[in-house]
Amino acid sequence: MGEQKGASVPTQEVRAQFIETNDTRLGGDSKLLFKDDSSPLLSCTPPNISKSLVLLYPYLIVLNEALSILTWTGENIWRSILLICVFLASVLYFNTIVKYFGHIIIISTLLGYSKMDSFVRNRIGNEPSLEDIIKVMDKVSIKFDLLLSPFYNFKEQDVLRLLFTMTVLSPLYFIITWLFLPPWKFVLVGGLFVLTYHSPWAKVTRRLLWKFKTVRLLVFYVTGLDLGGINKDEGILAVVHKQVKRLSAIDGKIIDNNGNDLHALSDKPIRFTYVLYENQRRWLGIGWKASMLSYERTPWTDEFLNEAPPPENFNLPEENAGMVWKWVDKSWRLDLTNDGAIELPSSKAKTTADPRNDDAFIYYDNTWKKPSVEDSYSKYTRRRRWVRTAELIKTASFNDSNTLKSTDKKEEEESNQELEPLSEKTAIGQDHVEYKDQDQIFKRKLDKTTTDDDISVSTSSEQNRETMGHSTEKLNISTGSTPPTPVEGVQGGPLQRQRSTQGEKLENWFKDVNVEDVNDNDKKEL
Amino acid sequence: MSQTDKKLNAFHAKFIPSHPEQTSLRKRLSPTMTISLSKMYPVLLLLDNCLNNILWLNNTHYHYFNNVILLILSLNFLIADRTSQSLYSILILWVGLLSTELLIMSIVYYCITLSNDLETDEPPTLEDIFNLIDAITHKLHILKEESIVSKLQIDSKLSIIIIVGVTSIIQWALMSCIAVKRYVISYLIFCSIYHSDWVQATLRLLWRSGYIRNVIHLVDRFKKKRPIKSLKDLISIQEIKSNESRLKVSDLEIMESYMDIIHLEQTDSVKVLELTIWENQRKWNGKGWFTKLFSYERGPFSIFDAGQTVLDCKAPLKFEDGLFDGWTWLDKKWEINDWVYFDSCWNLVGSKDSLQCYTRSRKWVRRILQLESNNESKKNV
Repeated sequence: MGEQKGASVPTQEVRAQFIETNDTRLGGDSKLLFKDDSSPLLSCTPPNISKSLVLLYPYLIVLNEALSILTWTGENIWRSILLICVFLASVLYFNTIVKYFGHIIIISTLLGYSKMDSFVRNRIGNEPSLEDIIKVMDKVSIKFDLLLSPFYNFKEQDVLRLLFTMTVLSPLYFIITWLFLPPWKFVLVGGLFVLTYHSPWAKVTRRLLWKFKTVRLLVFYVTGLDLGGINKDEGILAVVHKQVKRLSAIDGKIIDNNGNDLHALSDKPIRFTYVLYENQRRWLGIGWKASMLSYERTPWTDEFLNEAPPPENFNLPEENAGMVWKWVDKSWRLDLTNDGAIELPSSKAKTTADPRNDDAFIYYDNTWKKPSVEDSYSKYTRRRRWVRTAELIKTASFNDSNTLKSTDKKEEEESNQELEPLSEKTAIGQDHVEYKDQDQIFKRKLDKTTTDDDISVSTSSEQNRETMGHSTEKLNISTGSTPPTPVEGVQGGPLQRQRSTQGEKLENWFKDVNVEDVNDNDKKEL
Repeated sequence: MSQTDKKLNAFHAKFIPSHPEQTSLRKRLSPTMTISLSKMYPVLLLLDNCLNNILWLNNTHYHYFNNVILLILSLNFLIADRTSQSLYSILILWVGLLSTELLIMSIVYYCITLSNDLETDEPPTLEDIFNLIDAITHKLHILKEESIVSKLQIDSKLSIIIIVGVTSIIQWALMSCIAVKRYVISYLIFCSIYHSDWVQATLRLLWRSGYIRNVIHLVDRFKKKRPIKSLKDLISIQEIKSNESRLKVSDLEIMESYMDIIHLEQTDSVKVLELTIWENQRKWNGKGWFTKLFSYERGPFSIFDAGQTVLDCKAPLKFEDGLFDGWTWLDKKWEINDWVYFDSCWNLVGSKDSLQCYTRSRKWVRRILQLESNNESKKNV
């Protein structure tokens, strides 16, 4: 096919006569052919390849139609609805239909198949242009992605786990199907769920339902799968865990590349500031209470509004591969600046371990908007920020490096008590790097001490982004993380320039981490 | 093109068609095409796997057997009637529940691993993609070749009505002795194993029996029209088919004996018709070519009417002496062409005999002419 056209073009061009090209052609739809000739794609595509594409084309059209019905993306939504109706009818009246019309169904499928076959033959005869084929291919791949999108949230282990729980619980399911829900109803509901999965109404309904914790719990108990928001340690600890993984991977890399010098660096503990938000809602006549509405955030959350355990139940995660988390701070400390929202006089402490009841809250309206420091009648919700620093220590190198350190630490901690009111100084001694994500949703601050190579990371959420002041002001390093030899009087700026290359690397990696976290979060929300 | 395709399919060769210009593919293709092709790759993989499952193409047949068994068990559970309460039946139902779960999970698992593998593995080359596309089109072709539809040839309303009528009786008979559940299950088992090698081989063996062919082609037999007996019918059909050709006498290379007649009748234009009759033969196993044909298909001699449908007729030699209305043979005798070979369903293969060919035909052609004036003068009389 391609060769013929390719051959016919130059001869006509050489003649340079404005003859109706249609006359010289033999058979076929001459308009379509003419369009083909002008196609730049055809001239650069080898003929055998365009042949195989042309042969595939009609099947692609059929596939495209089927996918658009399943994903509700067709121009006409009624086809999808019709499919559902047919499905419902066939499940509800299964016995009757099979008994009286079974043969007709078989014949009609055969007929449909032969219709499709003749359609395919026609389409190939029509000689589609390569542009058409590419267009259809794009459509098909997009719809296919859409169709499989629910699977992308799962991992292989999840399926195995699901299978395991289903097998274990199968006697229970069996009793349920035996007593209450006969299998055909099960099929009805299941099929309806699958068929309407991509319909706009189902999407909205799922979104709404997902906001209720009971629904999430139900899904968790039925499937045994954590689809977000159920596991208590899910939010914050998962994030930390990921970063630790990254960091340890980085360590490994550095050792591989540069040898011993950096090996020493990688033995240093990694500091991480855990952040919890305490959320409260005002109930009329009762006052501020930790009990929230069921669809909104939970009383304790991390920066990404994931559910988090309250401070008294907050346990550090367990790491494998010779790493151990250790608290640096003695207790959770309230961040009095609330992410730098409140300008404090320099004499006052930035954080405090034993605050009063109403300290450091930021007040919001009913929908967690319009933040302000003052309480007023239009404010119905409030939250404040608790921080506590922990560090990740390699147990393998624990013995040799910690003898020195533990003594250091004691001194540090003692000095911390004194230094506490002057925590600004500690800030100066450190190099604060602030990151803004491309999507401007979350910010993350990476504190890297030049002297210590400790890394403490903390995150702050969207709401506070605007209220935050200068980068040096809004420290959230805990008071315990004072470096042994603070460089006094030096602002963050100059030191930033002195940042080691490793620091820059880390910065990039954290950027990556950040983006991924955001994506994960979005997925869960969906 | 079609011939090579058919050869590939006939031997079920490996699906690695040769692309001679593979080396420089990436440079030669335009980027837009490359992008959309690479996006299509997962779709193609999934399609290919589906087709493999339907056609039983992988060597791991036990895998497909497992699938069939799981399907049976889960259907057994899903169409449960809850009539029997014995422990055994409950156990079977429970196993059915488990196998339903397993089936669904395996599909989900496949989709997930597919997407994961695509993310982690290195991207496919364009050659991979095109090989995949070719494999898929070939497999679809096989699917079509092997399906019952290609043999039944349901095309007209009449055939549909006949089929529905016949199957209704079968359905009624089946339903009076088989439960709905068993009916559905056995139907689905048949569907799922239809394309396996064993079933196909058995079908091919069965296909050798004439009785079965007659049953399958029952509809064709109903559709068969009356054979043409007289020359008059033959001429009228051929007249409709061919555009009426009036030729000047001077243009005709007419035999001298007829020239006299024409001159006698004082005409300068005559109507000439070319009669074409096909002689058909079928290859019989071990015996060679014979004029014996199946009762449902075309007879030993046939013609095509205007709609390209086949009509039986008598042997050409028997039409020799039925001349009427001034029609006279223009040629002295029937001119016989070479054999043309067809496959079992009378689809053209070529002019040479081969393994695929099961039928053949050759054309008998003879021109006939009608003297116009003669006709008119008769009318006048």
